[in-house]
Amino acid sequence: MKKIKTLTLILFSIILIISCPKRPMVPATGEATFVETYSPAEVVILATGVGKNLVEAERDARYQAVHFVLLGGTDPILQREEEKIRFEGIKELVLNKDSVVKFISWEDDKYQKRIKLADGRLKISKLMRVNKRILTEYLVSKGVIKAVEEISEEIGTPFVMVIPQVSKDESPIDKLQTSFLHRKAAQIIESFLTARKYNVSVPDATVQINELVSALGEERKIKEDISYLYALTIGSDIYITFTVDVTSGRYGTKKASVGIRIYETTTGRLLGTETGYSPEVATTSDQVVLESAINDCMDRVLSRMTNYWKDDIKYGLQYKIVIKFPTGISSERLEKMQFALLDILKEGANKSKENIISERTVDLLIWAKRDKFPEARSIYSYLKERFSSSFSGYTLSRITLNRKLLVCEVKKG
Amino acid sequence: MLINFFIIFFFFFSLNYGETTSTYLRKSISYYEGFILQRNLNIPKNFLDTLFSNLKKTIFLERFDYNPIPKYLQEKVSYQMALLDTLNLERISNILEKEFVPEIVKILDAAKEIRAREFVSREERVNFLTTKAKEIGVTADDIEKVLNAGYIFVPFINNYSVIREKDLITVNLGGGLIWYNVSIRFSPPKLIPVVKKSTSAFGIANIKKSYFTLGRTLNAEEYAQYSAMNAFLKNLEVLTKEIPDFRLSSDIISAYKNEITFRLGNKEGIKVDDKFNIVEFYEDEQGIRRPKNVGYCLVSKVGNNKVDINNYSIAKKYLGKCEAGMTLLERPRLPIDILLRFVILKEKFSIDLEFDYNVGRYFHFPQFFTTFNLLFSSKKEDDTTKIILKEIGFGLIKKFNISFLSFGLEGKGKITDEGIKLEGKGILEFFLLADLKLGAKVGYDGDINYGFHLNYNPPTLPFDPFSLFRGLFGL
Repeated sequence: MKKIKTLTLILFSIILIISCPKRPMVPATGEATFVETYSPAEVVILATGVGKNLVEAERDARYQAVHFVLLGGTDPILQREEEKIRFEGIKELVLNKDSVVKFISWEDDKYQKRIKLADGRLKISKLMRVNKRILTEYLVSKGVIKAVEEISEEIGTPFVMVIPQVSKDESPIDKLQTSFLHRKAAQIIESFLTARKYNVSVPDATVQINELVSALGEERKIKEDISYLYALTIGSDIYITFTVDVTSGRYGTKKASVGIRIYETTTGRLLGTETGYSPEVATTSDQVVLESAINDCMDRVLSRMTNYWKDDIKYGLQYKIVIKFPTGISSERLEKMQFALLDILKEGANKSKENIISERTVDLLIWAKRDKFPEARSIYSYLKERFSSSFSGYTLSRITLNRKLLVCEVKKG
Repeated sequence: MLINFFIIFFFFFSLNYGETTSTYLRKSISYYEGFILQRNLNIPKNFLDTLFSNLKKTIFLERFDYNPIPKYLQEKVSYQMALLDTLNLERISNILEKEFVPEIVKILDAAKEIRAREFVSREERVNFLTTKAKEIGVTADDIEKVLNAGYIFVPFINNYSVIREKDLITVNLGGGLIWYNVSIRFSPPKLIPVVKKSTSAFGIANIKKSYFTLGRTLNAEEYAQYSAMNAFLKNLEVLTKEIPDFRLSSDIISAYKNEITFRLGNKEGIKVDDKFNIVEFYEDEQGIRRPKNVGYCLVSKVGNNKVDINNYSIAKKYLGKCEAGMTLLERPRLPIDILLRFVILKEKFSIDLEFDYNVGRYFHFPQFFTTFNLLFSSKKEDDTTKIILKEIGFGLIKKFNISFLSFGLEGKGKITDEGIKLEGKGILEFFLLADLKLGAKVGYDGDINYGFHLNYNPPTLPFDPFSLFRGLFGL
């Protein structure tokens, strides 16, 4: 009896194994990859869709393209956790296979790929142009993300400086004046930034950094980082440096590559680096391949920048404060003075970060409330007033004051 | 050396035939001006000249650009080729590589940007470079395609015989083309044999007759040569079109019911009634992709893409299925339908052999044929049954295709054993296979006749039916 049971079990197992055919490895759904930034408003995506027929596969491909722009890749529109949470509430309105079509401004009629999968479903790939601007405006209208204008309302209009990256012995201003390609690159980057409503500045020869160099002279290697000095002098919130390289490709073609770096002005902190490449094109114009290379990476650059900017909303406006102290003060009194100044600043700010506290210098960053300190001058007058009342016989006087930077010194009498 | 040659040969095959491209990329061709003749073949010089001149017309298809080789180089190569008595691919390759390839590379280099414009895909035509920067959008990859798209053909003849039997003279002609590719993947560029295509054909003429053809009178041997040459060249044209590198292909842009829109046009030399396979790529469980014919279609309207690249052609599906994104792959066939018809004529059973020449394709009128037929019937004479030629007919046919069905009307004049008659016919056919139709005809010439037939559209034929008919009957 036991033998019969065992045999039955074995037989049943065999039947079960045979009746379950080997299923092929097939994708559950499609995918998408970034191809190029067509214009400041549109990106080209190669979307792959899977469906039981062509109509369904195409719908899936459109869904994948919009999904990629919203949530995929390295720099999607929705990056922050609160945005993703808010998006969940309206997801059906945007990421619905029937409604995504309104965000697609162009669809190629050629299929890059069309394959019938082993499970009978159809897989197609085609190029689609997603209108990022319409998609962003829609998300803004639904309160999922903040518009640039809205961000500007909160912390002021972002101010971006664009400058070529040069070696120690070169001047970026000279480079802009003498190199047509660098000037052109700066213009193209400017056009992307202005299209996103950022305030842009490309420094010219009238910008003097000498004063700042002497004011910040104690900071290590400051003279070497000329872009940083220009950004601080101009008072930009963010500065962008770029390198351009146009080379001869195969068969007399040309190819360009650009390297773009984004920095936070107050700290010189690197926020992101992107490299863009153009295809090897038969052209006589260097600027064509240059623009193509910038198009290749600019969308990612802007995405990094916008996200940095959104993060800063939480803490307020960012300022760099440098206070210098005179000689001839006892170390105890000096320490008292420094601590008092730091406390005064921390009292008025949302957040602060101390960079250098040496015998003669206090260097720190503060994130100030916009309503209380809409500009660096208001911080200066606040600091001056509080310091004078706390330390009679000493005054605070300004050395340099601009949008992002306050350099002042403590003076006797 | 030989091993290297074969390594290159197989390397090339693995590169070209492993890839699946859905759109035909234009090729450019050069040729060796002459034939490589097998030893002991005695071919009249004037026939060889005529054959070569017609061969050029046949092979210079509109899908090709042409790279002319200077005369002095042709003469130099001719001298070296004349020393060859066999089809030694390696030796031919070496000669051409040394003399022709540097010149072809020069030509390709000079023309590369203009020709590469052809390769700028539609999606590239709407990107930043072309729309905003107003550039032509030619990339280094496009240029590389042009430089690798140079081919040379070397014609050869390996059979020629003239047989005289009773009143008939038969000319047999055999030969073909060896195709080489100029590959710039190697430095210096190399010549890679692609394929050797050969065919044979024959022509027959009546020794006692002379034939008026192409504006002059030909004697029997000349006519048999002409007839064999016609069939030989038509076959070579189809065989050339069948070579994977030269086979036209295109994506289906849209498909509505049976109507297919696709990108090829008169620039590639397609004509109405050209056949295309509808191909779908299937991925198996191992992830390997294989093409599979899922349908067939006939071109019904040829787009003028010489003037406007967006002027698309239209084809009608007659078997299987079609959908946007599937691939059309050329199905080269002779423009001749052969019908074997079983006819009931005055309660007598007869067999009709019919040849329909698709002439509508030359003036953009789809499914329009000239036809001639030979009807054989049995006749009792002195208690024996003989098969006799009962009727010879000439006429015109116009057919209308609706899906897999084909309706047609035929009007013809015929010489029968009862005198000259006129006949009208109604035709109904349906496609069984891509090149095979089953049909029925009902005719009236004073009496009703009807019959069933099989209609076959062959890829090649060893003879030209009408020329053969003229040759046999001395017409």
